Amino acid sequence: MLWVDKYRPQTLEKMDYHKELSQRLSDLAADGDIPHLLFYGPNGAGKKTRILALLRALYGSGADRVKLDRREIKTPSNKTVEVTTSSSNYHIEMNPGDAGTNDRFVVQEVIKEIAQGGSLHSKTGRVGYKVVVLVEVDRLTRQAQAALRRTMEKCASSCRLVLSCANPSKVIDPVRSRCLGIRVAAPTDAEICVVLQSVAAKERLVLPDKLAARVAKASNRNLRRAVLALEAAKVKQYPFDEECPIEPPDWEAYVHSIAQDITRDQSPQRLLACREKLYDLLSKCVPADVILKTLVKDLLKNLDDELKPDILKWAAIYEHRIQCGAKDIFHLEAFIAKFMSLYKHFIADMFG
Amino acid sequence: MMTEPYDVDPDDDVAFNEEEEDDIPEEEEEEEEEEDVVPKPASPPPPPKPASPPPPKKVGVARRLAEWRAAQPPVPRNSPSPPPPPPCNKWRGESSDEDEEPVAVPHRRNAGAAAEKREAKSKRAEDFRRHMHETPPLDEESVPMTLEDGSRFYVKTRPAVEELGEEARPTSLLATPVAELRALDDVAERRAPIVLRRAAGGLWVDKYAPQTFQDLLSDDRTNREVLRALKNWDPFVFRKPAPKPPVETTTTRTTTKMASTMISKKKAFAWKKRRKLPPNKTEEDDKVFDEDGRPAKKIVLLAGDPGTGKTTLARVLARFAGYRVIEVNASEDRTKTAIERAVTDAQTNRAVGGRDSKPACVVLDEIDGIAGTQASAALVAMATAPLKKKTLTRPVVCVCNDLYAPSLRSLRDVSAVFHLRNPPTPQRLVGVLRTVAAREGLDVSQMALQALAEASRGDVRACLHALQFASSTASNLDAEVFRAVDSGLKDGAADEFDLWRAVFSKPKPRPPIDDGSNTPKKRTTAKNELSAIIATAASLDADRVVAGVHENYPTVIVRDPGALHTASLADDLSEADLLLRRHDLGARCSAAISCAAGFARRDDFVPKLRIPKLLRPDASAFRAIDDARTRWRPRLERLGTTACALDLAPWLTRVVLDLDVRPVGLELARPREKALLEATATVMAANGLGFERAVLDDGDNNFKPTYKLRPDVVAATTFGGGSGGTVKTPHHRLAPITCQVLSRQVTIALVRHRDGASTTTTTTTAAKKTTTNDDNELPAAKRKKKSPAEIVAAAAAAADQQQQEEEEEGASNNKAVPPKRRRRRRHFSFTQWVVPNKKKKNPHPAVLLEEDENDAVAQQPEPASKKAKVVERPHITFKFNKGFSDAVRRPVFMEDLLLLTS
Repeated sequence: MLWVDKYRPQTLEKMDYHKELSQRLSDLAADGDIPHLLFYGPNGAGKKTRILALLRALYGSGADRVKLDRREIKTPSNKTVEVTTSSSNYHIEMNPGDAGTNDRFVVQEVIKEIAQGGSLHSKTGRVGYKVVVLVEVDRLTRQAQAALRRTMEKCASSCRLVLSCANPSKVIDPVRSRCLGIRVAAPTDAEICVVLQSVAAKERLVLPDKLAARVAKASNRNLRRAVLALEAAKVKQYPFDEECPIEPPDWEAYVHSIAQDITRDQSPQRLLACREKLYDLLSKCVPADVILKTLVKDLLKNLDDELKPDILKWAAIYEHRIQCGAKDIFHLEAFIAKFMSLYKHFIADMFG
Repeated sequence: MMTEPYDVDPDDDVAFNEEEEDDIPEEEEEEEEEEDVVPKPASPPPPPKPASPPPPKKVGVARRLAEWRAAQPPVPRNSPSPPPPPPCNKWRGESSDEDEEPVAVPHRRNAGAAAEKREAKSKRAEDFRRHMHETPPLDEESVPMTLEDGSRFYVKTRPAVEELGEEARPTSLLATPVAELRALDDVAERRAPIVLRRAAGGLWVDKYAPQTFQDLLSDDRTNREVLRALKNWDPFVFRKPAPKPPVETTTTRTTTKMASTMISKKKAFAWKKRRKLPPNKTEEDDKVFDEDGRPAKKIVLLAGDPGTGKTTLARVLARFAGYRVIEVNASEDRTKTAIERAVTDAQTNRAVGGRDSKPACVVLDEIDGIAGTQASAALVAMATAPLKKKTLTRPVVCVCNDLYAPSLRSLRDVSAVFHLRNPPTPQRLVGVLRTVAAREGLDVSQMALQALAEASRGDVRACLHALQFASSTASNLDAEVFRAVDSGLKDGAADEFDLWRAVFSKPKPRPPIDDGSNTPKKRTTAKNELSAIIATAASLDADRVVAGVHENYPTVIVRDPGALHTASLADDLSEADLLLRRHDLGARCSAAISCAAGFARRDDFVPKLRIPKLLRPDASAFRAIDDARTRWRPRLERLGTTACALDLAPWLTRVVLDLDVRPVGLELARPREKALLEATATVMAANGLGFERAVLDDGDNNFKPTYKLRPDVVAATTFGGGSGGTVKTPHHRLAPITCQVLSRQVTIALVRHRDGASTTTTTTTAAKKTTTNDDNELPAAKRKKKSPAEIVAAAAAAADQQQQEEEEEGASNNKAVPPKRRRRRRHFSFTQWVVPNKKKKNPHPAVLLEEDENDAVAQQPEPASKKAKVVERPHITFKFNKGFSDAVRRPVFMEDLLLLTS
């Protein structure tokens, strides 16, 4: 079992950081009745850990007994959509984004089923509702979110929704307003270092502080990545020294190579070569906005200050367009072309 | 054909013929080659012989008529045409030659004849006028004809002999052998000029329809093959030898003279051989012919795009092969019975006498237009029936557009199928168009005709229609023809590819067209071109249009020193994408924007355009990640695809594959390596990863067996196309032996996981060893009591592997046993004698979970205490419900039995 899973805190009390948030959540759980919740925050910040801990606080250890189901849901057009859910007696968790364009039916169907199951008579009798956990709601289509909105009101008596997403602005306003928003900020580097040290202690490893700091820095404030990187480093070379190489993930290295390419040479041919690389990245599930962000970050490292505002402005424009538009590759390419143009002019101005 | 038995101005006629023969020098060349391929001139049945002497009876009548007329004094007649001016000999005779008259009667006759001859030339024009009537002459035989200028006349017949002069054919021809005459005849027919000489009104398409084999515009080779298929009927219909089978070398068109003579010799030899033994069929004949001598494929099926000349081909070839053509096309009743009747009628009925006494060949046009399979089924039935029944005794030609129409499926099998794939080349088309234009007296530039031919994509019909239409309306023909080209000859001719080409390339310069009017030259302005492009784009799929522009723009922009063009075009496309998602108007705007953006930077030089890729997530990579995601059940969290791809997959592959171990087996591994391997195996087992065998191709055709992760997370996290990419991934390489060891360890780990908390009961020593190692390595928390969640994950992951393990345990004959029973049997063993617990273990996670908690104590006791239990309760019943004979085979040792009896 990976360390990320092994050393995931199970209860709200054991959370390593965001103590205040944990306190609020446990207060909420102690009250017995929770509103609909929307957890948002970047990947690897600990949203899911907190959701699970909250469920545990609500229902006791029964919430941990989870079974996996693959269920098939029929759409009105007689298509069967298969989704995997994990559910306990008290909650059901699913990733409706898996269903693609048919997510609307999945959401409706599952919630309806739970709502019709009637109120819950738990052992404690304290909590009279079930919880539906939907992750990655920002991937839901607009229709599905609209469907959610009505369902949330109708079945409020028998179930609660706990939503989780990275980008709350992709959740439609009506849904957001029906939820209590809980922001789970990414841990700071220092907090990550603390966690890494505690993991190392549990694994009986000696982790130099400097290495921990480097891992934390490389992880980009993503705790999951930090812990995984630590484990990978351990597998590679155990007695740690401070200079242990921390390799970036493959996709990041690949984006970095694009950044190098376009600063070296600006031509339509180079753009074509970059297109191939972008296709490769996109086809392997690396989202366009992540590519763009990483790319800009890489580019800014070696850029003249004079050029930075312009590049950032255009990066922001194209990032926005990625969110609005349909074809990511267009906008990524447009950004690269724009960068090439700006950069070339800048160089030309500088050297005559 | 050329020499009509009717009186047309002979001078004109000759001139016309000469002119036309000049027009087609290349046709003559082709003809020589075709001598080899086209069946011998003698072999086809005598075609209609236009050059043959007119029937003698007619000549006789006509001559007598002429003599009579010459002898008669002019008699005013009530004929529409004025009588010819009276021969003046009488008057002369009376006035000047009167005294000589009694002496020289014969002389007078001669003089009269001479006088006639002298005046013949001047009379000819008059004669001509005399014989051309605007209305049909009532008293004489006449034929209608139309002159080149479109005027229509009725011409009285006159003996051809007079024109031919003294060496009149009948006598001279009598001396020549028939075979020679036939050959002559054939040659005469072959020499026929490419375009029709039969001047008729109406559509040019009909007017200039090909009449002979050489006129056909379709691919020569196809023509010959179709002809051969028709000729295969010759033995049956005409009692003539079948055509030679195709000789290899004849297929190549560039045969040297030498080669061709050799071939013809060879062929002659083949002919002789064939002649000698006609009844003894050669072997290849059996394939081509059935036992009745009919061809095995009795139907000829022609397929091809509209306007490629299928129907014409069928018509011409059937005529050429000596048949009377009976056409049944879509305008007629074409039910099953109607077709059957048409075919049988055509075969049985025979016009008595006359020109049409030839056997009939039925041409079924547009056969794919007949709904349902009944009609073609009827044809198939007839084609396959034996000779006595209702069957085909004459060739049938079917013509269709869509060869693969469902209704033609059965027909395809029984017929000789010819697909007219290659439309006539533009050059050939231009040749024809030029001839037609010349014949019609049109003044069209070569360029216009070229454009027309190219735009029509080989559709002769469309070309001729366009030309005729243009000629009827325009004063300036070129402009009109170009307009026809621009407006699109055929519907649907514009596709995305043409559009992209139009967007990125400047049109070929055309000569300035001066149509005399003062209107500005519209078509050359970029504005008009762009609006035309946008109009076309609106009719196409906006998504595709935009994608195509996007796909091609970096290749099109060649010179872009400041990278400004590229940037602004890319920016435009990015904006276009925002609109693309909107509804109709937005999508169209989007297409328009992209087109305009590309148009603004178009260039003279356009490289090869590419078809846009459809960006779909790389299916295999996506599946690997998705598969891995659904398999990963670390604790309870199931990550989304994105999180998996970004955060988990890259590290997981490293944790699993980036091991610091030497490539040796487990026995030779150092303790540290062993620990590492086992820890990794645990991780893999918990995450549902495994190894599978694969073959590695390192590029030099060296195929090495290796191991691959399953699901293939490595592929999903490797960028740059594996080895060819710029980014090398140094990890992801494990020696096969290490993979093997890991694979085994994973299996063991899975077994352990499945057994859940009862880790003490291990089956193999190896597993026992791993357990102890594991215990040393792992913290104390894990050693004693595993968390329920871990068990869930392990059990679920292990469930996938169960089947594989079954085989390893040798219990493969009990696969169908439900899990409950299987589990009980596992605990049953003769050495242990554990009474199966009343509470059965269920691998179902949820149940397992609950029971594990309850069982936690029950499972813990040492094996010793279990043995004690056995002694207490000796009665054991064991029943197997499954299997063929309720029997079970288990390895039983003698000591077990001894233990049982004691």
